[in-house]
Amino acid sequence: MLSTRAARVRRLAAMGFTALLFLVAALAMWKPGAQLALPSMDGIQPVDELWVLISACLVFLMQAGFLAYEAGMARPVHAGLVAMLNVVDWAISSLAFFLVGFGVMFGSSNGLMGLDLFALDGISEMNTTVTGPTFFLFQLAFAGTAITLVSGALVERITLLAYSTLAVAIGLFIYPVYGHWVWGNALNPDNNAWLAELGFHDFAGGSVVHLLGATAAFVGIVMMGPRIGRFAADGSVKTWEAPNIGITALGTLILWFGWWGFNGGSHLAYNRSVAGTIVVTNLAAVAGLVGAGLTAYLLQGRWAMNTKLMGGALGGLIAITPGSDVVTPIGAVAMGLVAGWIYCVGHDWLLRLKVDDAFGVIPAHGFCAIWGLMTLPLFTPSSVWDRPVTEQLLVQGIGTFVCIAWAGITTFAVLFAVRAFAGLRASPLAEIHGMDLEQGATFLWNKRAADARDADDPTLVSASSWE
Amino acid sequence: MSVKVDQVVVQRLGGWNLMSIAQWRDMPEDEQEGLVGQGAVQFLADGQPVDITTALRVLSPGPAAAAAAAVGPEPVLIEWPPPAGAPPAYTFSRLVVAGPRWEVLRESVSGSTVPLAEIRRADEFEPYDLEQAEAIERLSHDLVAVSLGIEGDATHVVGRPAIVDFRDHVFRVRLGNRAWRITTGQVRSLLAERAHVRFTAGVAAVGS
Repeated sequence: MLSTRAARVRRLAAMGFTALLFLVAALAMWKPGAQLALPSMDGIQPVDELWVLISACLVFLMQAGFLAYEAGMARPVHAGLVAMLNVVDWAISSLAFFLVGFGVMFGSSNGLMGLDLFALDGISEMNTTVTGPTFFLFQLAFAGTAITLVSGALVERITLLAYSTLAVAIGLFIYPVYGHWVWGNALNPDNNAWLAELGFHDFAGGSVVHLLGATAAFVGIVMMGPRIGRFAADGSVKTWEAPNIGITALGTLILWFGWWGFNGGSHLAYNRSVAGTIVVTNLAAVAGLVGAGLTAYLLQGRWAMNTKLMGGALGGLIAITPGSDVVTPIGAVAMGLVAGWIYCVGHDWLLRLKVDDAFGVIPAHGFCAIWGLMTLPLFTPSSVWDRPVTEQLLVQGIGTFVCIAWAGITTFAVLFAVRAFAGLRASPLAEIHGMDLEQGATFLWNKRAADARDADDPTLVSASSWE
Repeated sequence: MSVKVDQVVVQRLGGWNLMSIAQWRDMPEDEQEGLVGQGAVQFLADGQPVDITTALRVLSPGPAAAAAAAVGPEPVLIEWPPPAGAPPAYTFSRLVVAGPRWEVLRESVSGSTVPLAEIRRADEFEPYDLEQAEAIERLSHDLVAVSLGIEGDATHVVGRPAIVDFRDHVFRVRLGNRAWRITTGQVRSLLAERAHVRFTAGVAAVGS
């Protein structure tokens, strides 16, 4: 029987996992490597080191922001698992990026990817404007962001196993390989980061982090299909309003704050441009919220207005990210306003196409990132570029296309394999009645909401003591 | 037929995959039969589970529908209330008892609770692991047996087709691997709606 086979596979997996634990322990004892103690800090300005460390902390705080943003929007019977996914993927991405991803992204290049610095071997000798370990920590927080944003699109139906597998794949090679093409020469100037050498400008990760994550999320949505019950048989959309917009608003503010480090820290130094970068970042977010608010109010009949306000602010932040070092303040406002409009229109357009993006990841991290990447040369002084603006626009288009193609193809391959062997979705009953317990989490909100749902079923008397 | 089946979900090892109605129709019939036989398919209409027999009758009136209908022997006639008097009323509840461990409890009117597995399988006690097909069938059997007041193996009284039918069309669709509560009267009512069991009393009396 199917379930017996599943149990056998689970037993094998448990044995394999146990063996792996001892193997890792044995390897670490056999070859412990060097401590992360620096030979010297010559050439490193303490203020640069401190600023980038603080920025890494701010970017890490964004994990909490994503958690709150998503948990506030999730239906109560799923919210616990949504929260847990945001914590679990940080652990997964940290291990994957530490062991392999960082080396692939910043190790000595063979033209396509890095081939050393695995498990941070040799990182202590690698300095830029900051020490190697600080650089790693900052980049790790970025990798974590690219991974965690994917969950916002796929939750309430994807299994923990399928999501974890995708998170590992993103941390191991999907994110680092593309990152190598754009930022691969950041630690080792001799590396061939071919998109950077082409002149592609992505200062703080509009493509590397946001568009890559959104593309992976989009592929996941298409391969999994919508959440059960999201679209009625006649094709109409069922309205699932955010049950706790306060928590989502708090998440938005945490993300907003963290973004100051995300963009400001990307200078990898505390220089005269940092404050300006943070100012334009904030302006774009403000404008994004206003743009989304006006669009939802004036053009869309205030449907899902609250979530669009929050999504619009994020859209502004994402749009400014790739050009936050070069875009002018008024340019940031313009980019943010349009990003707010894009978020709202994109949000409703996807629903019309029956693309069930749980928390608006694609319009924010996808459409707004594309907007920012493709148009940033238009909102900067032309003197910034050493080529005509039209040519820079073309290069921006190439970089954006490569990101979508790479993330799309690789994510499809990973999820295709998972779908064929293990399945991507939780059981239908778990989807309908709540994944929190079946997938191992406990309820985040008062479970009365779940009870009320079951009370609609005349056969089932709702549980009063579930835990 | 008023049901409009619009989604199909099929099970793989640990998870499920969504499938369009067209993909289901394009699937070879032996593969459809296999999935139905394993209980590894769930049909949905407007976001709600649909009885597999009804769904297959609508979608593909072929061998898979026949497999699901499982036209077996004549319905078993069960005397209800039994001559010795109806057994006490109970409520079954599936809940988390410690950490992630699930348990199915039998709760009496007075409020005392006992693990169902302990009552039914005192000599080989183990909790129902609903990721195991055997455990799903055993739990279905035990719910039916206790609801009918049958002490030992209920298969001899109601027949295995009735148990399998209850498993596939009631347990999988209405209960499943989550928290739920159901009374013995509700189990009997659901049994009475199925083709394999006929009670001598009417449904109203059965459910009481």
